[in-house]
Amino acid sequence: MSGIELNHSRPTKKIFHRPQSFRDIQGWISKMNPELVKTVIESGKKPLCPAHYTPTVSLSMPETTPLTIFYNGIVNVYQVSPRQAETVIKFAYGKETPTSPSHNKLQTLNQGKQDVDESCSDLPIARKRSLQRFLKKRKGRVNIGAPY
Amino acid sequence: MIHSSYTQRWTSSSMSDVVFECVIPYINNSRDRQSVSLVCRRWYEVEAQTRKHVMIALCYAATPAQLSRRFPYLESIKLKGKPRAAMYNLIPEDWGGSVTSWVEEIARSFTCLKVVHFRRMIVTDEDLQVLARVRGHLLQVLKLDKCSGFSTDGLLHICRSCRNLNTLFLEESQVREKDGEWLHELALNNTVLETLNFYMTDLSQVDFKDLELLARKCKTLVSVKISDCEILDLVGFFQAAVSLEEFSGGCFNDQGEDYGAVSYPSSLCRLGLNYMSTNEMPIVFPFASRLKKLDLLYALLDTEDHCLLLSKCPNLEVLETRNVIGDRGMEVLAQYCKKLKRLRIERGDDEQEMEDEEGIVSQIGLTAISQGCQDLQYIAVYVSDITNAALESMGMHLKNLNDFRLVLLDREEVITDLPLDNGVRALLHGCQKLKRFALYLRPGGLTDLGLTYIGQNSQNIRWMLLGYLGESDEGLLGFSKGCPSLQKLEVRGCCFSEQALAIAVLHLRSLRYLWVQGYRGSSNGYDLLTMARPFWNIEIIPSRRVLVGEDKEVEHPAHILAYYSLAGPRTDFPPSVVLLNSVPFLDE
Repeated sequence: MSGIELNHSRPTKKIFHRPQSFRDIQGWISKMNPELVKTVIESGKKPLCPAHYTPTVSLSMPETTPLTIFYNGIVNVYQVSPRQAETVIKFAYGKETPTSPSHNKLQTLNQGKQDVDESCSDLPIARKRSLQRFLKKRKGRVNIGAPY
Repeated sequence: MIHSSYTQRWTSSSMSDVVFECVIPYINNSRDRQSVSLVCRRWYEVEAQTRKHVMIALCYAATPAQLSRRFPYLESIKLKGKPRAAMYNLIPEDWGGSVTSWVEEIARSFTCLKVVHFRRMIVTDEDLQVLARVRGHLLQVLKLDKCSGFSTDGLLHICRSCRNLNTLFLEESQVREKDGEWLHELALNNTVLETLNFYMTDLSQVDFKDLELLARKCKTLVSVKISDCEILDLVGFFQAAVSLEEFSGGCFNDQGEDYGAVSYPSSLCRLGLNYMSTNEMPIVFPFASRLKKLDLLYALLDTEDHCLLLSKCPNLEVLETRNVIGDRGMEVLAQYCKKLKRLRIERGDDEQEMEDEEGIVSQIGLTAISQGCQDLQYIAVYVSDITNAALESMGMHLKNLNDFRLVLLDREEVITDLPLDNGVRALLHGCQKLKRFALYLRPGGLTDLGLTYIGQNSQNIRWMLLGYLGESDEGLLGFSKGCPSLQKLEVRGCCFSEQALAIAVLHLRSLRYLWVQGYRGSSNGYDLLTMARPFWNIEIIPSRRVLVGEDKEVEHPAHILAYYSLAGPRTDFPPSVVLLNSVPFLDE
């Protein structure tokens, strides 16, 4: 039986917009895939911009504090910002935290921004649809012709 | 002297009206007409009454009613819907771009319309039915270009009613196929067809006998591009199509058959034989010397094949192929194909086994081309390596270049010569006729200074794609101080902030359209509002997870789309799109 304790020691900033009981948190966190959680946290640790960039617009880097995750007998401690912690928790929770309707779409925007900041240099070169189609078909022809 | 010029009457206003009305029909260039319409109200009215063709680069820029009110006698309309990124699977399918309201207006108002071209739009069978019923008798050209949403039933309406159709173009459209009846109807009813194109569609139930019938009946059939259809089945078609100049499509399925026995029309000079491999290539040799255009994008040739084939094509003006052509193939081009005007080199498969290992293009090939093919007007190329010197060479020799697009592939970790600041500057400085420019590199590929160089040296460029350029907002701001003619800007993978993007937009005085994917967002998207102004729509597609294949999900970062519109914010946006105009910010 795996017990999970999410212990973010920065109490002042409210991450959820409605209260969550500790039991609730335990419940949904126990359903998380630990590898996925690790991935999300690891991606949060990447610098906002790769080493080549020297942003002149100074981003106010939020202070990082420890986020401790106990899962399946393993304890991991990560230095994360409140926003990154929010990402992990939202991700684990599996759905949007409910807010007032007029802010709903903005909420989506915000979430988007977090992902964008980390991954704006991670965009793979997109393939043209027509060529993608052809390359797939060509592979199909090769496979048909294969003896086994 | 000055005094007399005020009292002298140059011409009476009615005389100049008559003169102007005689002259205006000869002015066809849309930018000239635009200038003319700004002179005075009378000229605006005459220009509007005599305008024959309008192209609306984004269908949400104006309403159908606004178009018909100003240009009631249009004979030709071209509308574009989804952003260009849709061709790269980056835009949600339900993003928008429906033609229905336009077709309704066409049915209501445009009584002289002969040419309809929809590009990257959603077309339904009902739209086609309405078009066929109301304008079918006049319609000469119908182009459903990378469209979706219709089936072969819709085509059936068109082919039954539009007997004056000389062009039916469906290239790359996603058509729901029910049967091949539409082609049968077209063959039965039409005798004036010149261009038939259903290339890169999945229409497979067409009967090649209908093609043959069409070729026999339409003596002016000049260009035919079809989907996959066995070449051996087309023998009759080729015999009947005596005027044929252009053919693309088909496929070679039978390994054992003698494809050399197929004879092609004597005027055929633009060719694209799909799935043609080394074995079948010699069938082209007898007429290679008269080839003006060659499409090898969907052929199965290796580098050596390219070298052999291209050395036999001294009259080649247009070549499209994948980077399997290799530097060696580029050198052959430079040596033998002196008349080359357009060169497009697409990206082949990433898997090593699927493409020739020689199949990469680098500064070697580019330098050779720049020296050997000095008539080049258009070049689009995916390179694996690049140097400043190669770009400098292009700037020095390719004085006729009006469209330059370069993408640096991400396979190689180390590139010979980065950043490309000086090369890019030399290229832009040397190619004064450039109107379109795309540069897609990687972090470190171009510094902020290089990006500023682009801005400083792009007097005539109207469209640009910037991919992974610059280092910081400073680069973008330097860029935005130049580019006086830039109308449409696409930005991908650059780490510019919302604030910088918004300020850049305000600096770029000709800008009417912006698309961005990958940027440093503010906490709430509000920084973009720096560019808020009348008639300027701002839309965001927030980041989303997209299903690829059966079980794999890919993260798509957020997009910004901003454009001038006379129609106000659009009302048909799907859930995946957020209009910034509608976000309440006053109650913060």
